[in-house]
Amino acid sequence: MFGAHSWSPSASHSALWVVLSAFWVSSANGLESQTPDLGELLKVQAQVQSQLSHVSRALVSVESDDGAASGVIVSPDGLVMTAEHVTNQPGRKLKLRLADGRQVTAKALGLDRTTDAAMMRIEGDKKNWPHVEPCRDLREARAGTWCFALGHPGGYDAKRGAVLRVGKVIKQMANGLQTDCILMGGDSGGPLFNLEGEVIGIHSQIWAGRDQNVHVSVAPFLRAWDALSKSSVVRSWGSGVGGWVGLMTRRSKQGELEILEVAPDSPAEKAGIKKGEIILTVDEEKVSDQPQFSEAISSRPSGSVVALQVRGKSGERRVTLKLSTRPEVEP
Amino acid sequence: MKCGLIVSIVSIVLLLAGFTQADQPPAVTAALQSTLRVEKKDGTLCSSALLVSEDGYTLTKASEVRKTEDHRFVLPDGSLTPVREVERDSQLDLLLLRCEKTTGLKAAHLEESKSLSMGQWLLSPRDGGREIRAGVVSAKRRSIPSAGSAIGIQMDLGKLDKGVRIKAIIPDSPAEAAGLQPNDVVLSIAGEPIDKNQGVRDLIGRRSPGDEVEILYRREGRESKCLVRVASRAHIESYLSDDDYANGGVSLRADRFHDVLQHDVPLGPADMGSVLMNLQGQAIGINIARADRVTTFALPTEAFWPQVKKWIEKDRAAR
Repeated sequence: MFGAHSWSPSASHSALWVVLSAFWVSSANGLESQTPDLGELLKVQAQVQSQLSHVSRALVSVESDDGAASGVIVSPDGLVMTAEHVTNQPGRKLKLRLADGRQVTAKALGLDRTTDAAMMRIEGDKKNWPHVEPCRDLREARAGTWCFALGHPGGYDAKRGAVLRVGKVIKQMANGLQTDCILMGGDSGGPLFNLEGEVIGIHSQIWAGRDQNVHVSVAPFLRAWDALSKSSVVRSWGSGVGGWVGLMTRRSKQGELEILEVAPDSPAEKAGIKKGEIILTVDEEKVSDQPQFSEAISSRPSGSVVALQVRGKSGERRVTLKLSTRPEVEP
Repeated sequence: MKCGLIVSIVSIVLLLAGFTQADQPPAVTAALQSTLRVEKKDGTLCSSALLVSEDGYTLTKASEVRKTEDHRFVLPDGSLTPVREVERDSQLDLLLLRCEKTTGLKAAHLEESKSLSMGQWLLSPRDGGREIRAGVVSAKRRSIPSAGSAIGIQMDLGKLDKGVRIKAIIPDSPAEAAGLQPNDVVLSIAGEPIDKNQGVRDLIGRRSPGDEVEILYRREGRESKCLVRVASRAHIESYLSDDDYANGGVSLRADRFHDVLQHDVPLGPADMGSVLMNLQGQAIGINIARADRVTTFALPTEAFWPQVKKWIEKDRAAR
């Protein structure tokens, strides 16, 4: 309904949903046996309600010619966490509306195109902005953990105010969280909280299902906090605890896994993989977004051999490469 | 207190299957026992209905049940009950019916909702009373202004001697359901002749969602008539937006309400007309519209019950 005028969590093609359905369903099944009692529900309610008035003061609505989105203030001097697909470009000026309706201007700082993380700073010298803390230890945000989302779906509406959704984490990924807090256009960039009122994620993508709401986790923010606050464009290479391939990827508008950059001297470069090419499968398993690819690589130990199906200018080909270890200093 | 609520992937789903009556929290029992299924003749669920008095008075969403006689009213044991239409109110979008049979049903006790606060848990029946879902009060209580009306046709702005040519039909729209096609020339709407695009907009925009209008059109030289059911503009636009999945669609009418509660209980358009309960089992409203992927509205008790009670008393007195 608001598609033309609000930043939406980016949505997938319906065709891709079919491709990925097995992936989502398998991740969700593990939760069904959990049976909280009425007491647990009331405890969650009490915790959410006790945090609400404080954390909602840190919520902002982002307004510009492109549309409406959300963000959250995370420091007394006005640092704001949001999504890369909201700010787009370091240095860009954006209008923010605070919880009390006041308008201020913010400048887009650094961003990470692979994970959708981005920062802004409210302009001016004020040092006492209402703010929340990012969660420093994401290990607690595992599947089944209660959480809540705030945002301005459809854009700022003074009569309605911020919109709350309470749900659970369905899956934690390398740089993201999947929850059943239902999101839509205008929520992009808004905060996902744990019950302590700390930010654990930023609203990023939706798929067709009501349980398919994806948030960038605070992990990529914390990893690159200084770089993001200094307006740098951060590069998150396709790597993990295990193997390293040296590819920076993102999901293209067509819903495919596009290579944004190839690290020099990486296994990927040695195997002849080029910027702009599309990765179709990893060891015959279809991949179409960055978290999936990242997981596929990081779950394999260095030294293991993987086969990628790659589509380039001259058609599809199969590339076999040996994963190396992540370099001490990233390229 | 152990009460066996099952948490599923889609928010919280309290499945009816697998519970014994004794295990069920009172709120779940109360919500399920007050719900009737409103089905089309082919058995598809189109709305839910809420029993509000032990002598059979029942409420449902008026704009989803345009003609009472085209629907069947199904009790929890699967049997049907004959109904009589008592009052149809376009302001509240409620239809008051009286059921002859209420086997297996128990009327909901409607209570004031003033003490509700943001973040408070709520329960509602889904799928005509086959399961219960939970969510929270998710935004400020408020009024919802009109979003206008539409039928889902895009008009060609080129001049014709008579009428206006249809350029495109929006998929799943009322215009498509009525059989209109691109290149048809609309000659009149409800008897009023059309000569420019604005005329179509005005004539449709004046109608309430759920109203039927007769359209006279010309296709390949032959004139025909069809009946089109007007929908809210927001409903039509939800089909145009490609990035906001509504999951199961939105209600024909989700606007023009004086006072609504907004919640995130995951319901569909056919779950409107069902009860909204707090965890203590008190009915504090009736679900009235699914507006988009994140928004469901309910009329709080205060917004409809005083009026509905008057209709019931008047009807009882007349019998």
